[in-house]
Amino acid sequence: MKYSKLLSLYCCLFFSTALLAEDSISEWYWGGFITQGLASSDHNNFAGKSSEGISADLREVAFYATWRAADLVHFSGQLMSRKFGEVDDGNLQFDYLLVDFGLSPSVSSEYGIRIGRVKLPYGFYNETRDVSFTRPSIALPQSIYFNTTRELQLSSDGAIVYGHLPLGDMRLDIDFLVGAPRESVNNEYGYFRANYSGRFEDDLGIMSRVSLSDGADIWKIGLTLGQFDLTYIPGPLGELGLKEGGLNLEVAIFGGQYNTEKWSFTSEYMYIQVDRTDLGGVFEFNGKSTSESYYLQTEYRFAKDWDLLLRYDVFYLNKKDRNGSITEQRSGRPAFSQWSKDVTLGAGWQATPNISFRAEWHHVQGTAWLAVQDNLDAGSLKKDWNLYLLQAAYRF
Amino acid sequence: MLFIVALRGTVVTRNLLKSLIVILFLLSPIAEAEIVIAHPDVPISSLSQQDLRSIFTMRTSRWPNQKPVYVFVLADKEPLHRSFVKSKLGMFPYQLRMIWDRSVFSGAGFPPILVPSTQAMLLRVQNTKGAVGYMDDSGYPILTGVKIIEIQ
Repeated sequence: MKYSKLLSLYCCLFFSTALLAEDSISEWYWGGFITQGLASSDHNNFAGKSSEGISADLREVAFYATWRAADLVHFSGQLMSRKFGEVDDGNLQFDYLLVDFGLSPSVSSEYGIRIGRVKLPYGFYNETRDVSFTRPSIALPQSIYFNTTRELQLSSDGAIVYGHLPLGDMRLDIDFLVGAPRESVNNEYGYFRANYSGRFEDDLGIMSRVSLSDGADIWKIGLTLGQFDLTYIPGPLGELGLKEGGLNLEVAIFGGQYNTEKWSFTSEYMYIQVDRTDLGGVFEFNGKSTSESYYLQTEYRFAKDWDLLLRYDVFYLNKKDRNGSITEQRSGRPAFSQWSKDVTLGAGWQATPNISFRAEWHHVQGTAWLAVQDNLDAGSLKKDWNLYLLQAAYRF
Repeated sequence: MLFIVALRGTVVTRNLLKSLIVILFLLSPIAEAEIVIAHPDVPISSLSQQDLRSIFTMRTSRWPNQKPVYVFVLADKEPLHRSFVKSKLGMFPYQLRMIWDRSVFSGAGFPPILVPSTQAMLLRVQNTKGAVGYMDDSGYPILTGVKIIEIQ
């Protein structure tokens, strides 16, 4: 009797401690960041009126939450406010908001679909281009990660099918997206260099990316292929004699990266063919052009928590007129508005796991990737200019 | 060893020898090694390096029974984390951090769960179904209530 009482007490104790010990894992994950930058330039504006002193119009604030609703399903969303000169006004927007259904047939493979507002699989940096601690520099290579037509690159409302799978000792990552890119007047600036009374609508984009890497991500190569069809509806002013029609974009990016403990070498090449002939007007006979972009980048982690960056970034708006002389003859716009060459030197310091600082100097020739929105007076643009950037970031 | 041989013969020294051997066994062969540990319910007892990378990069978020994987890690700067990432994954901590952040801040996946110490690591892995983490050799004698995953 005595023993059975003791036994039941033991059982009771054991059971309750066992219950207490079983961890209840929260299926909610959340976090965010605040990034503030300062920009100054001797000529030409970048992220606000940088040529008139110091611009602080360079800010990114975001909060994300992810909820594992079931073993195979999660929901995730990120609210973001981005202020970037006249390009981004800082209004709160959903950067992404999606539901993900996935399956993991083996420990080293996973497949699934994400539906909703999803990030575009585009080059090496696009998905988290506005998240400072995932970029190697304050300003990503502007020849590929544009600020003018960034809404097209940011996220799409649609669906993305993905897969991570082993291929011998290597790994293959595949993404395929179909969706409607986010609309913005910035697209008009990008393709017409002005904000007209018309608008783009019924856009559709297809984007696929395949990357192959060794298992440890020492090297990786990636190929992105995409196509966007935008419909332009002319406004009451009928600028440039444009009629309703399609604007078609074809994109290809090829990139490679090599990583060691102290060094990372990255390069990407991009080709975009823009076809505006369907819009008629000024584009009827001259509506097709192909831009070309590439960069070579070295990161050097020379001490614990410190890094240096050196990059050479080149952009040709029209590969048939690389030096811009044809454009200058035909339209009177300066030849240097058709290309950009940017030599960037940067340094970064991870002060704590949550706080980081960066500084960089861009020595730029040409103005091809400058945002028209921040440089409305095209006549004041200079061919040779320098841009200085500082950035502080806090994550939580 | 000379010391042990010299003391051989008596019952006392025989017992001493036994405990010495046990201690030597516990400490020497696994010195400088990191051990992958998992909750006993995890339906796997060995993993290839490729599998291990998929799990610790968070690219695979489920075990083959489709139950969630909960990855526990120490802070990036911790020596054990650094040596685990280098020797067991063949990667560098900065790469892992970048892969996690890119996945988490695009809605693709989950972050790993950060623990402040190896004691906390052991406790959380013992008590979380689907958990996986790592320990160093000094933790070996007290590794109860977890499964030690063999790395092939």
